[in-house]
Amino acid sequence: MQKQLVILVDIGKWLGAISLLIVLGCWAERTPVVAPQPAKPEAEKPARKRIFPILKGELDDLQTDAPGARIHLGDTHPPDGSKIQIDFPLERDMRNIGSRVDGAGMCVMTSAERAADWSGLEELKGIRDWAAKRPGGCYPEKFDAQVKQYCKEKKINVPNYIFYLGRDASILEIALKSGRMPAVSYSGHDGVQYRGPIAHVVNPVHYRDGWVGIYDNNYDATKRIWLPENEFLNRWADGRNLGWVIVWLDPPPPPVVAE
Amino acid sequence: MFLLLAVLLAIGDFTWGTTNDPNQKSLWQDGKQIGVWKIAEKEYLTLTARGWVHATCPVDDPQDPPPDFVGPPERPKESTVPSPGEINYGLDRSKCPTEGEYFSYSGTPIDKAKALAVLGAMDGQTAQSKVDPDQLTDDHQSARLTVVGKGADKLLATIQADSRWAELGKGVLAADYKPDAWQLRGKGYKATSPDKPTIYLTDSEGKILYQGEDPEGLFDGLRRKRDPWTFKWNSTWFGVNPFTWMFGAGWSNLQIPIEFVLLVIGAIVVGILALRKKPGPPGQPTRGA
Repeated sequence: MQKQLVILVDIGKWLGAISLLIVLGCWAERTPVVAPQPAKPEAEKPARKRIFPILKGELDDLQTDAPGARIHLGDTHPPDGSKIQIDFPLERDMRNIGSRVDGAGMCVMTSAERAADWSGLEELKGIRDWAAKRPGGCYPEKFDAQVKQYCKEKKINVPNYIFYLGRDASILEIALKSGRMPAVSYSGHDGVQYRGPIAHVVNPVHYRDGWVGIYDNNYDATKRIWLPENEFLNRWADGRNLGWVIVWLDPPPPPVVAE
Repeated sequence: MFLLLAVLLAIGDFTWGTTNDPNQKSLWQDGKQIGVWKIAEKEYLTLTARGWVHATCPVDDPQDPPPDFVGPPERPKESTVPSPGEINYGLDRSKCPTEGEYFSYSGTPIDKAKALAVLGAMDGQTAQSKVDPDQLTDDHQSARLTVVGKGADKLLATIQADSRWAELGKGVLAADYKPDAWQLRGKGYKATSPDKPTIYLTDSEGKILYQGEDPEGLFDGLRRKRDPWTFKWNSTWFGVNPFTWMFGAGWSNLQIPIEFVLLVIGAIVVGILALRKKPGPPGQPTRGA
């Protein structure tokens, strides 16, 4: 039935196109040539008074240096009113757990598995729980080794990913721009979720126009920590520690089909 | 009153029960089943108006946890990592370098030049400089090939193994999905046939360039996308869909022989010429004079 409907629609399109061709042909035949008219001067449009200036055009004022730009806990809508880059569905959420061996946290693999889920890497589903059967806590070599070991045990190819440790956030920025969800380090003391310093890995879900959104795996899954860019960078790679970026290179979910 | 009721409900006892499916354990609260734990998948699902959906398990301390049950969020232990006052949630800083940069690609440590090459960024000559985001691979405007349906992974592998893919598929982000993949929910992608996967070629904004089940049509769409104005008689795109060159790839799925189309166009031209008003005899005023 659906196929027949598609064919009918297509036939309609074809008939419409052919009719359009005929009409255009006839119109071209009958339309008299008109001498060019001098262009009318454009009337000056009165400037539209903005009732809500913050919503239209003045968003540039809301940058990191603006007085109102501060770290805060919000929902999935960026403070500047734009669309969030990674709108991760709530039902796919994963919370941080402790290792079943030593109780140490599993924030790295939790964030990595969430990012893998976003990129459609179904074969990595369960890697966090697999890792939780081993001692917790993670560092770069351990992460690489565990991903390799997991893939070996599951008899799958190691997915393509980049692990970066340093102070240049460009890879992070470009990953989010491309629609991928990275996992990054975060040292807390933000005053909204963590009073003091922490050693943690989270998922950034927005990095644009001076704002960074953090999707934490320790607290409320519906909330995002919103930080001005410089505040985030200070917590991503702080004074002593290099910043982490883990990016799965598989494509993010496709765009909505435009009708 | 309502608050008290809510508190009483919230502290109701949770118990685990068995189900007909040995892979599932049911979670009960106050005599009512509120969710299931899928043992193999290590997933908790709760029943909502939309049906079963993934959720966070509400049980803090299950008395009868299912085998391999990984509990709800536990507050990770404070770190043994020597960092006074720092709470550790799973990042072992004691084994992380504190200077320089570290790159790995799929688990293999690589240097920065190689990492940037992987990202399609810069060559080794500029590898020591700061990474310029504009020079990194920015594929957010790339076309998307989305194969959805039963056997989508095999079809995608076939497409990517085709010799034409190396040329025409360069820069195209390709992925396969099951028909019920959450990544496609509400986005308009559908497997039109239960047995065959459907191919979608879209631009970065979601505009469909090709939709169908035929890889040949996909390659035509890719060819049209890359070189929209080159007319090729030996190309199947014209035979598959003659209006492609006017309205873009994917405008219509109808396959009509080129002979028929030429016949229709010829008939239209002849019709217009036949109906065209002939000029009057000499001496009579012409139209518009």
